[in-house]
Amino acid sequence: MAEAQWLEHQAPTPADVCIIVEGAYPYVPGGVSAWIDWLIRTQPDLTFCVVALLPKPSAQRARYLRPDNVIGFQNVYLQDFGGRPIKRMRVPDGLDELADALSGLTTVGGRDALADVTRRLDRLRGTISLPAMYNSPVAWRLVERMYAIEMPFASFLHYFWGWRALLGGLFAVLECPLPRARIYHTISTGYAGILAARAALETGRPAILTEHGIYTNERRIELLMADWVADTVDKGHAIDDPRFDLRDMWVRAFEAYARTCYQASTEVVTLYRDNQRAQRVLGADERRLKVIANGIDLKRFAHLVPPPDTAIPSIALIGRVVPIKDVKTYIRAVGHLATRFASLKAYVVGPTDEDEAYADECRALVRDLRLEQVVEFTGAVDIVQYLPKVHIVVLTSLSESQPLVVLEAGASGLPFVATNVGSCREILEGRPDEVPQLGRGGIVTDVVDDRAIADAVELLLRDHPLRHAYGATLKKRVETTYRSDQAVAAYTALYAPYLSEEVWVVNATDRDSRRAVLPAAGE
Amino acid sequence: MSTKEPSVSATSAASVGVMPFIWTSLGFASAMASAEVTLAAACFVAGVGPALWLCSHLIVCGVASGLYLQVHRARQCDLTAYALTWLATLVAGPVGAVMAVVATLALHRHHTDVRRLDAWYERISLSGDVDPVTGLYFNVAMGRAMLTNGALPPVFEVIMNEGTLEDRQRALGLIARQFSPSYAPALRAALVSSEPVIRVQAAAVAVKVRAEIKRALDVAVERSLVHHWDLKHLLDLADDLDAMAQSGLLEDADQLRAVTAVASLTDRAVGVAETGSGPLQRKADLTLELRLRLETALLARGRYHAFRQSRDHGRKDAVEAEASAHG
Repeated sequence: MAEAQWLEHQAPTPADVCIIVEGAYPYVPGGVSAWIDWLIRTQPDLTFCVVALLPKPSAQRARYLRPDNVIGFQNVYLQDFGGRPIKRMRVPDGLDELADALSGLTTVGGRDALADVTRRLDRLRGTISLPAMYNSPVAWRLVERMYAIEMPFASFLHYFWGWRALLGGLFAVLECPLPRARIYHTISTGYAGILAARAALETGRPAILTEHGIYTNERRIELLMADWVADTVDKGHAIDDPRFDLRDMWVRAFEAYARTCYQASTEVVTLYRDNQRAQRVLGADERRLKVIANGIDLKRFAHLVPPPDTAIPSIALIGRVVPIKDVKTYIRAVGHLATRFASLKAYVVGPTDEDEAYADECRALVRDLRLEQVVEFTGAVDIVQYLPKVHIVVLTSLSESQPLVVLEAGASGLPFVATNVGSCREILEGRPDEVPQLGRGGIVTDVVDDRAIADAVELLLRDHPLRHAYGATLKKRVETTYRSDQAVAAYTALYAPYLSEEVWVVNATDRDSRRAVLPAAGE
Repeated sequence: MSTKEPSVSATSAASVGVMPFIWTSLGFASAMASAEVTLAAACFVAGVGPALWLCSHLIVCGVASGLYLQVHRARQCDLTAYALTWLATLVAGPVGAVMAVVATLALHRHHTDVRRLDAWYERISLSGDVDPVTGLYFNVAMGRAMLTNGALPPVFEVIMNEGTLEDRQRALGLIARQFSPSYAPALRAALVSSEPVIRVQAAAVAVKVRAEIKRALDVAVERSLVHHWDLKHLLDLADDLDAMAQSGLLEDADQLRAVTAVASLTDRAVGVAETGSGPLQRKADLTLELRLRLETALLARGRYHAFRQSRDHGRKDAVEAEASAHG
C-alpha cells in the first residue's frame, strides 16, 4: 500500500532538498504531484524530505509510492492550529508592535516583514507558546489592533473569522518544525512560500520556487468568485469603490505572501515565459527569474506511427474527465464535426471516476447530440495504445500550465489543436526566441469555442499535407526543447551550487549559527 | 428602529430592573419557600394528617405555578428558574423550596439576561435575522452603505475591452457572483481576451454560471406558461429568455427551449397589443413606451409583418392616447 510508506518521520540527517508542497503531493494526483514525483525520482543522487501542507488531518491516502531517496516526511495542517483556550492571562508587552508587524506581513509582505514578525514572535514565545496565544486574550488584543489598523469600518465579526482563518494558516507554517535541509524548494507561493521564506531566514539556506501555475492568480480568481466570502460593504456593481472589504483582505494577503516568497527565493522558476509577467508584477527580481520547461521521455513515444490518411478520421481528447478540462466543449465540437464527415471517431481518453457527476453530464450530452456511435469514453488507459489510432489530439482545457499531453502527442508525430491556455501557444507555435524558427505544430483556439475547435480539426483532417507538416514540426520542437533529460539536467544544475556549504547565500542572516545546525554537504 | 439588537438593553431593563421583586425568580422561590414552611409548621402545630398536608402542598404548588406561568408568559421571560423551583418544591416540599432559594441566590450572582444572550448568539452565528431598516441604519452609520456620490456602475462589456487588468478581474468576479444573462456579451469578450489571466478567469466564470443560467431558464420557462401576464411582463420575460438563448452558455436542447419560449411569448405579446385581450390588460393601458418596446422586440426577432402592423396601427392609437392623456 502506498500510504503505509508515507508515515511521518524526521530525516535522520539533513536532506539535500526539502520539497514544500501545498494541497498536492503525495495525496492528490495531478500535474504538480506527478512533476514532484518525477523530480525526486530523476535526482537519485540527492536525498529529499517532503513537507505536505494540508487543510486538516484526514484519512487521505497517499497516491504515490514513496521514492527511496525520500528520507523525511511531515504534514502541516493549516486549519487545525491552536491550543486549549485560555480565558485569563496577562497581556505581554510589545503586543501592539507585533500586531503592526503582522499587519505589515499580511498587507504588504516582503522578506523584511516576515523577519520582523518572526523576531517578535520569538520574543513572545518566552511568555506563551504560539498555539496557546492563538486561543487566548492575547489573540483578542491582536485582532482588535489589526482591525483598527486595516478596516475599522468593516464588520468586526466577519473580520474576526477572516483573521482566524488567515492567521491560523500563517501561524501554522511559522510554528511547525523545520526539517533540516540544504535547499528548501517550494512548489508554490502562498503558505508553502511563506514556509520556504521562513526556512531561508532561519537557516540561511537558499529557498527555490518553482511555480507551475501562478498561485496568487488562482487564489484571486477563486476569491473574487467565492460565495463564502461575506461582502460586508455594499458596493453594488461599482468596481472602483475604494472601500476595503474582506474579499480584498484575502486577495491582498495572498499577494503579500507571494511578495514575501519571491523576495526570499534565490531562484524563481516557472514552466514558461508568460508566467513571468505575473511574477514580475508581484515583485520577483528579474535576475532570479528562470524558465525550466517540463520534458518527456521521448523513447516511450518514438516508435509510434500516426494512422494512414485513408483511415476513418479519428481524434482524441486525452485527460481526466473533469470540468477544468471542459470535455463538454470537446463533445460539442465533435457534434459539429459529425455533420461534416461521413464517418468519424472521437475518443475521450482518461479516467472518469474523479468527478462522476460531471462524467455523467458528458455522457448525457453525447446522447443529446446523438453521438453514441462517434464518441467513446475509454477510461484510464495507457495513452501509448491510443495515440497510433488518432490523427489529431485535442485539448479543450480552461486552465493549464504546461500540459504534458501536448508534448506526448508531439513526440508521436501528431499535430495538436489546443485552447489558448498555459504554454500551449508557446509549444505549438514556438517561443519568439526559438532558433531556428520551426513554425507551427498545431492550431490554437479560444477557450469554450466549440465551433472554432471544430473548424481547426476539420482543416487538419481534410488537409493531409498540412497535418503531416504540423505533426513533423511539433515532433521536432519536442525533441529539441522538451526532453526529460534536459529538464533533469536543468534541475541538477540549479541545485548544484547550493548543495555546497561554502556557497554565499543571499538570504543568510546568521551564518555562524547556521553552521552549528547544518553539517557540511556530503556528510 | 425595532428588532432585537437595539432593543436588547431595554428588554433587560424591563425584565430585571423594572419587574417587582415578587415576580422575579428569586421572589418566586422565596414566596414558595415561605408558603411551604408556613404550611408545614401549621400542619405540625394543628396535628393535621399527612394526606391533608399533601393535598394542601399540591394546592400551593398548583396555584403558584399557574399564577406565575400566566404572568411570565405575558412578559415572555425565560421560565427555567421558575420551573426548577416549582419542581424542587413539588418533590421535596419546604426543603426543596428552601434549596431553590439558595440555588437562585447563587445563580443571581452571575445573572445574565437570556435575551441578551439570545441576541449575542444570533450575531455571532451570523443568523442575519436583522430588520432591513436596522441593517441599513447600521450600514450608513458604519460607512458600509452603497455610495450614492460615486460614479455610475460601468458597462461590463466596455470594461472587458478597455479596463485595467484589475478592473476586468473585479468585473468578472461580480459577473460570477451576481450573474444576469445580460452580462453574457461581457463574458464572451473576456473569454477571447488577449490577457491569459482574464481568459482563465472568464472560463472559470463560464463554467460556474452555466449551471446558474440553466436554473434561471427552468424558472423563466415555467413562468412563461402562466397566462395572466400583461404586455410589460410578457416583454420582460421574453427579453430575459432571449438573453439566455443568445448567451452561448446553454446546451443546445436548452437553447431550443429558450428560443421556443421567446417565440411563444412574442406571439402572446402581439395578441395582447392587438386586442388588449390579456386578463390584466386593457388596450387603453398600452403606452407608447410599451408599443415601442414591442416593436423593438419584433424587429430583433425578425417578426417583420407583426412589426409593420404594430407600427401602422397600434402606434397611432398609442400616440393619440398619450396626447389625450396630456390634454
